[in-house]
Amino acid sequence: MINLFNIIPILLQAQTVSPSGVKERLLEGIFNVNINNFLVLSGLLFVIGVAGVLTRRNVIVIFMSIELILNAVNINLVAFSRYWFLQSEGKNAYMGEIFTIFVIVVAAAEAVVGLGIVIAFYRNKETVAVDEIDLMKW
Amino acid sequence: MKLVGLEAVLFYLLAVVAILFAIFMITARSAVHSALLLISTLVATAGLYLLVHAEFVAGVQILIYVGGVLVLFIFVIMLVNAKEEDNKMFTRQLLIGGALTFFLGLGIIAILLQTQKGNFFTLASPAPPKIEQAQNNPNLSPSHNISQNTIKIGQELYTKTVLPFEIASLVLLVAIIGAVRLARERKQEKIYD
Repeated sequence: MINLFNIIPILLQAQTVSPSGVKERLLEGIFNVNINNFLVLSGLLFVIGVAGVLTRRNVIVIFMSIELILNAVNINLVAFSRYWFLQSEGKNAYMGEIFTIFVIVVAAAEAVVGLGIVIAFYRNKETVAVDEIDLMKW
Repeated sequence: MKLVGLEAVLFYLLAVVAILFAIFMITARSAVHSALLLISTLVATAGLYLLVHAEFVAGVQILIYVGGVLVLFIFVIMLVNAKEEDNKMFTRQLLIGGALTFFLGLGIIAILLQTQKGNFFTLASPAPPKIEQAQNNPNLSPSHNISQNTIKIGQELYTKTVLPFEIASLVLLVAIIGAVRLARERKQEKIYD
């Protein structure tokens, strides 16, 4: 339940504020969740997805990591959509969510075509490991 | 945008679940376990969408991702009969990839800290907009009392973003044809010829 991302900047400004003020602002900062927390969550999910793509050997798990990356981007879009909704009194407030729907559509299409390629390859070489997929390597 | 009290607790709960299951997903030995853990992460993300009042996107997330794409993944895992990766789970580039992602994560965190230090995201929270106040108006139809999210998204989707909507349907058509063409066997092709 500790919001590290609010603690660090408050402590950075500690020289200018009195100690009691720092304590007050820390409590206030820990117990509310703003858009920064969503950005941190989505950044972490993105990094985990990139790690999966770069290191795993199974093609299907790599595709799942790509889905994870797209999902992280969707969290960003939805959070910013809500943020803009509250700032703009409802004007153009749903564009972020509509963009999210398009991202989901493209992710579904990408997964379908990618898995088709995996099946076609498995029929030829009986493997799904990326370092054995080297038919076009010279 | 501020979530306080119980909403903040729910946010932290769902975020921890999503990140933990994502980490388990990329380190799971069997691909079926990876798929199930990815389902858990996506459901936690749908909960986060509900938390920020994006009900339609949460429903789409459950229906399309969990009900469609992940079932497709599990089907393909069954089809290709992927054996337990007994010898090697990771490629030879494990160290390089790990280092690259570590620096990527450091960079993202540094940028986020920098933006928050400049008070970019700590604007004063404005008064709730008129659209939310309209929910309490008894003259509107009963559907307005639930949530306007789906109505508004439908209106904008079919007015402002009609062209991208149609292009998305074309993308799906191309994907269907491509998948059928790619996954077809030679035997079946001979039958069709």
